[in-house]
Amino acid sequence: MSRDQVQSEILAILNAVLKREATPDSSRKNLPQWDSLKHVEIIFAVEDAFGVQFSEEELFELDSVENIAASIIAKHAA
Amino acid sequence: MTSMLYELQAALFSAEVSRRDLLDIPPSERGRPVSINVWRNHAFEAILPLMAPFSAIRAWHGEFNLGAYDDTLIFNGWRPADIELLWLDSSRFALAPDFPAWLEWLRSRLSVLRAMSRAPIIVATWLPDIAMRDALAAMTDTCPATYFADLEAACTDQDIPLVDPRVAKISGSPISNRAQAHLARELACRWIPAALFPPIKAVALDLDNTLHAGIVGEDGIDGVRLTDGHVRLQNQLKNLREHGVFIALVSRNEYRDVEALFAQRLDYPLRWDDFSAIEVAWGDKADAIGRIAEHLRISTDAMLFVDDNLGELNSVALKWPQLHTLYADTDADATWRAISWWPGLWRWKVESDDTKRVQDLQANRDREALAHQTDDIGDYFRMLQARLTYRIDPSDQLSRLADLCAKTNQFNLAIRRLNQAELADRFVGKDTCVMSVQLSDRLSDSGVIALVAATRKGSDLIVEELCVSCRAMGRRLENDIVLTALGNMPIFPGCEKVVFSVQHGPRNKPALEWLTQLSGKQAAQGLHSVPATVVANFAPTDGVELTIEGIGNNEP
Repeated sequence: MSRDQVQSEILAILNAVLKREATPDSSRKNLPQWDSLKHVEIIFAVEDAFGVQFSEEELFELDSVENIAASIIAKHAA
Repeated sequence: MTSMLYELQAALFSAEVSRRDLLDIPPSERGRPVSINVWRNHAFEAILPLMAPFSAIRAWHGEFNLGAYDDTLIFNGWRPADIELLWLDSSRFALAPDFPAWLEWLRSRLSVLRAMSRAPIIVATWLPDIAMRDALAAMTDTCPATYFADLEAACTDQDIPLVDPRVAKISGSPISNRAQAHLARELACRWIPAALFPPIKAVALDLDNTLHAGIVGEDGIDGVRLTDGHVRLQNQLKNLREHGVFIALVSRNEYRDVEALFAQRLDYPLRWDDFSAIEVAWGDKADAIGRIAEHLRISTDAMLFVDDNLGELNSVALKWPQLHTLYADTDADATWRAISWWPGLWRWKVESDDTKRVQDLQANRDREALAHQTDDIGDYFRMLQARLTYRIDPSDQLSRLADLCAKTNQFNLAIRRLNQAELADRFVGKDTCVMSVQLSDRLSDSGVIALVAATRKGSDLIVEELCVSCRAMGRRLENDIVLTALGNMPIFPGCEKVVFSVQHGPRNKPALEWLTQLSGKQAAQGLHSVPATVVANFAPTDGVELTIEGIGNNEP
């Protein structure tokens, strides 16, 4: 799966969960709807979509589209 | 929406539902709003959006009032609701040292909630061991309209871990992602509909490419295939029948071919006699569904129709918009999953009277034959050994009576749909009375078939709820059932008028016609009174044995 495909799926998840148009630059800092409760929904949906599971530490670190994409690509490469 | 639902069936009724798949389903706020108070000590927010695609199946959507996290359950911010949901993380309570004390505390909190609310209460939690779960289930059984949704058991059945230690800190709830999606489906397809909506009473199925693979008219009796999935599907349908759900066959085929199929294919778990109604012909399936509903004495909105032909499903749905329709997958296991998750089919409890329904209908054929042997109604009832048993404020029948209120559509005069809590109040009230009626004869025991709930106001007896099960209709005993019940209520003596509360519903014409005939005037919406002498002077039908139980037994 290419980086673009990964990013596109992450954006689709963000749009569906947050009911807002997210961009590749979106993060918890610049998207106020991305609060802690929505964060869980996003991460769970990402785990479902890519068949991965994040560690407890990662759950806190995955706070942007870019970080989530990087983590998925790293997991798929491993 | 119906066509869209067929497309969504694979995602909604998959073996394990996925949050990601559910997110792709467009949100729907179609249908009836259901208000739900959520009293919780852990997060519910992540489950909430997952319920919406499932609730849309039966055209309702949840309007949630989420309480603040509160381990003490003080129910702050209560407002009237259709459902009270206690969403509890039991690990936050110190259960081990004295579980009975915790259980007693929970009982006292449920009593407080019950004093505020008449709505069904669902206690959704998990407990460390089976003995504790059994104790909680036993406790909730003693509380009217209160149900224990065992989250652990629900997940274990599906081999899904309930708790995920990673997520508690970040999500405010230890419930795993997989469990959240599964529990959303349990809540929206089973637990809430079973507490709130009239149930599905019959499943009508097509034959070809539904109950087997292939077409009997083309492949022949030995050519149609019974896959392992079809064996499981047929066995599950047989099991449903044993739990009181009618199974009906509706097929475009030659009748003699289908009859021969079931006679010759002994590998079919379903037998010809297992179908409570059979419609095999080349005519219109929508008409056939109407005849099945009439034969089973149920309305079409209490029926689920399963067919592999989308055109048939659509044309039948066009004629019967309230009918539940489901697409039969080529994978019979998928078909069964969809049936089993269909909202309204699952029950909190299967009453013994439920299981009598199928047998009772079969006995009707013999009753009709008996009726042709004599013109004298007294002789008929004597040959039948018909017996009506009336019980006053029967607390041990509470669950069955609430079921009757929820399920009865045709002979239901007020359509109040009193629930267990509301009925229990009337058992103990000084000026109120609930009378149950049981019907049996030598052919079958129909069980509790009617209830009449009334309140005394001055010299009036107000009939607040009057339900007679469809299984007792057409037995020429309606007056005996209702008037004898009213006349034997301890609050009846001294009444001058009997005032029936009347609501015109979509399907309660039989009840309205009965009242119109009784009173000699049109049963208009609102209050409809008849002189008390109509009840007091009623002479029971000759040949029917009447037993009144529990007079003066108006105990809490």
